[in-house]
Amino acid sequence: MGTLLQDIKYGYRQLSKSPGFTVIAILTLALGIGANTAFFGVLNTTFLRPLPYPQSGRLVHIRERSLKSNKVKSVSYPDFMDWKQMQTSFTALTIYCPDSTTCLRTETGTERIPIAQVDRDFLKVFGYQPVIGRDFTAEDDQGSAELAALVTYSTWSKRFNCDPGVLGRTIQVDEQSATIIGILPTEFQFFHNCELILPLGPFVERMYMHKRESHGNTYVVGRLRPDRTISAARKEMDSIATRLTEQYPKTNADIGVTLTDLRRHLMGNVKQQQALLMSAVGLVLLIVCVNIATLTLARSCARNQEMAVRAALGAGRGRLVRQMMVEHILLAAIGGVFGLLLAVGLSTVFDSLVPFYIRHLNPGGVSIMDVRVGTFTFVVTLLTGLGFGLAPAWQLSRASAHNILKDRSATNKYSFVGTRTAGVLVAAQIGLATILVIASGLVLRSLWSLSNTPLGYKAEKVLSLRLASPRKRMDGSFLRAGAFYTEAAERLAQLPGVEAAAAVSDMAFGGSSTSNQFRLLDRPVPAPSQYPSCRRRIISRDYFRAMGIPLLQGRCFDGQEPPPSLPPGASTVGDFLNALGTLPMDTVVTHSFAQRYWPGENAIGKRFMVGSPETDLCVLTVIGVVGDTTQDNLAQSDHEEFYFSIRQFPLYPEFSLIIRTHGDPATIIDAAKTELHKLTTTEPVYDVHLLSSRIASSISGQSFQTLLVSLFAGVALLLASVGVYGVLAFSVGRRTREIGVRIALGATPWHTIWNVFSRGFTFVFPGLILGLLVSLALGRYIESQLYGVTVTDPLTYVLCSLTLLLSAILACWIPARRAAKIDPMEALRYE
Amino acid sequence: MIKLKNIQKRYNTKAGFLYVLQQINLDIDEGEFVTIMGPSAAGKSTLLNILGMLDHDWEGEYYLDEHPVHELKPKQRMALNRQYVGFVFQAFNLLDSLTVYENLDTPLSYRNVKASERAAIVCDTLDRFGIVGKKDLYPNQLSGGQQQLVAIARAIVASPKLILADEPTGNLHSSQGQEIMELFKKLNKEGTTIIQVTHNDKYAAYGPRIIKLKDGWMEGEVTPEQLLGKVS
Repeated sequence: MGTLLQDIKYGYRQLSKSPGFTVIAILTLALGIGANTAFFGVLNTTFLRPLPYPQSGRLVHIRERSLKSNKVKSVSYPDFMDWKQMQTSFTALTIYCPDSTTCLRTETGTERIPIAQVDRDFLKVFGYQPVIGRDFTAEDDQGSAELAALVTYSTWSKRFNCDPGVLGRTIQVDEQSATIIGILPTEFQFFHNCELILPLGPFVERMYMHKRESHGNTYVVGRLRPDRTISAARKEMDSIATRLTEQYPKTNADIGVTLTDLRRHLMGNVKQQQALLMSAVGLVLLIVCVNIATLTLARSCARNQEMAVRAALGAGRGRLVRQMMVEHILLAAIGGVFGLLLAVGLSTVFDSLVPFYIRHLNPGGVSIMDVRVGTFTFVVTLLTGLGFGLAPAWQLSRASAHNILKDRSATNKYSFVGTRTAGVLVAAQIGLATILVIASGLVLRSLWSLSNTPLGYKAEKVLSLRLASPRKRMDGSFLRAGAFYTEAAERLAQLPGVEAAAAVSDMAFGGSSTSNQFRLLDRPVPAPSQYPSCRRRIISRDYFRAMGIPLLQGRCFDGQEPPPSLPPGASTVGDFLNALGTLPMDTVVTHSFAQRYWPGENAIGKRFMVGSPETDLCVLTVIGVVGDTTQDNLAQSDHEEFYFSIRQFPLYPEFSLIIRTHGDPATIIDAAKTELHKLTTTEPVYDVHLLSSRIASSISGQSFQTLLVSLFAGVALLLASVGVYGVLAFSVGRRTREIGVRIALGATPWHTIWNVFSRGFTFVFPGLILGLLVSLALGRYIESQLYGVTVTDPLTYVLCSLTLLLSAILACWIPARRAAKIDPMEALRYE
Repeated sequence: MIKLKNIQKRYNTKAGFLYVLQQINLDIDEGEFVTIMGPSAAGKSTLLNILGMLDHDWEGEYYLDEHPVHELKPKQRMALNRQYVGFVFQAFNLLDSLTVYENLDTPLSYRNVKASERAAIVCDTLDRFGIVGKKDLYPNQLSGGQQQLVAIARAIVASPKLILADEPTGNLHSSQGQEIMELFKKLNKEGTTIIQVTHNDKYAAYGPRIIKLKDGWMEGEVTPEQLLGKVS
């Protein structure tokens, strides 16, 4: 122990003697360790930190899926009710409808607030009780009692000042009274930003969920029995799905079940993305280690003499290695402390890398002050110290004691440069930097491809906003609500500076998308599992003009489409669908739709039946073909879509409005809000954004990832260049006498420069080639992160190789120039 | 104490073997003061390396206090080195990052001496050499003579039976060199065997036995009187 403390003391003293090297090494280590620690914090939050529910490992997320296409779907409410009856694997199952909104009347007006709708077992499944009040009962869920509401803790605090007297108070939601029955505990988190939780039961028919074929944004979570595994539960649910298929062949022929651990579901598909970033940040640390190993090796060789003396005084090799390792680990430890500080700062930046639904369950964000993260930092610091310290320590321990009695070049402080070790280390840095630079090049090109995806419309100068639905105050009438939105669009179109305005069901990059099944009337009726399905939008007359979507054939809606004729008092979805039966309905389809279903034919006049295998809804006749568009996500590969006229099919909970302006659309926001306020004082306007912002936001995650990888690649390139420079600078120093002699013998400056360059490139080229080969071999692991570019994209490889070569040339240039300027007379006196 | 039989060291070159030492036969008793002299490239330092067991690449037989060094593995030789040998170098070779105290402490720590014992031994040695006041100074704060003094103190701090000194006065001026030689004489009187390499006839005369090397061979032995008589 005493000698260990001695080694620590001596190590500290050695580091203090070389402040320049020590500061650079600490900063470099801090960067490598800090970035890794911060990113581990992300991984810890995503994969390891328990979800904030009791025994969260027992929670399972359940969805339905198409057996044919394996696409996941939300859960049909009738299917859920059957599952509850038939299953034995779960202590409880609950169904919920997230991401809803409702209008809450406040003292100042009406506000659109986020809510969720759940069944009575929701809190039971998640293991919570209201802090005051009670949970939903069977009566609340059936809708037989007055509408009940649970309030989240943050809302109770914000809107009701934590007043316990709020229990029993009536609030107005969507023109309906609801009674507050309970307050949720502060630690309960599931729905993002949710203010109220309402029972789902009273809304089932209203939201058309009573139909088995309707999969309307509802999902299921179950708590596994203590003695059951998820595999066993999966088997049971598959068997239940099979039984339902036999019972309901028309609706459930293609329906299977998917069970996922809740954490995994909330994480989403981030494994590949986070693996890419962890690899990048890990490579940076590796380069840091190799870089510092090179610098330490160069520095250590000036201590050859010291090591030889120590050996002559009786130090064994193990003792010498230990002394050097203690010094290196001390350096790494100091770097680690600064790295930890850097990680605290970086953690706020990296917070957005945590999947959204996991992030909002951890309001504190990525935490560095966590046992796992602390342990990781400690281990990484130790391994880093061992990593960069081992080669120099081993090299030095071989210092021959007997050589100190001779004046030999073994004691020459530049002698390391002649060794293979330095060359291998520098080549390794170049190789690792090459891998990172190529990865960065590929994701940059991918982002560029994504950003430049042809949209099929003009996204500039378009404002988009949401207007709450007035249907409640219109006795539930879809037609009146449709007319309301049409009028809203027409009013907006009259504003100064507005070119066109329209209403739409699923606005571009609005986060929602609706599909319908259909069948072609000029083809045989397909089997239930073969029914095609594609996206559809409900639009007002000027939608294509407002979006800048070109009309390719035929005509668009003219606002004169005959609406369905409904009997008085008819307001349900069922009433509406019944009225559609014989109505001649027009549709506009996209080019891809026409090409797919009527290749080589004129699509105008073609007809198809919208509806599921069980239910025919309406017949549509194609009146026009428009260009393909990308309105849901930039990477979408299919562009088949058809459009309903809002006059004929206003069957949607809430429409959005699109406004194309002549100038900057941000300038008409206030005017638009004012105009809409004239139309209605009860329905709020919200979610106002430029369409271009929505599109940019859709790839913000990818942009950030690309930025990070590029940053890491830049750091790697810099470190590798410094490595090349360092080795060559030492080499020139060592060879000063030799170079002087060469110059005295007639070598021109260019001869000398070429000499230095060729020596430098003896380790640059092998490193570059190795890096290229490894990139080719490992490229498949990042394939899923790329769009529009292959993992072996030649342009990327060529450009990245040129970038590396240019950096290497710059790194070689300074020592080469210095060598060319050596005065032979000075050099020949050099010792 | 030391028996060398047919010691030789050679390098294998393209032109054949290059002999650095050839057929060295030498006996040195405990307590002797022996000087090795010879022109450059005679093999003096090489012989010293072999005697100090720092060089392992040689042939012949070497007995140190009846230990057959030639039969020992390098690790065993180093253990023997720690037990018996103290080295003094021409270039002092003090550890620049350590104080005088710490330089003296280092050989003891390599011999697994307990911390409390080390402290006592170092203090004792500092006192013995009259350098207590300099214990916290670094080598670059000392004169050449003081550095060599510290180097010798370091060489004897672990109480070796044998001191090997390679040109110990080579980097000192004459008065300092004389001081060092007087110190060696004193140590020898106290029982330490001293083998030194020197070019200086005057310093060579401090020991009663002078071995002459030339081109790797032992030329012979002379006495100080013969050496000095020859010079004058």
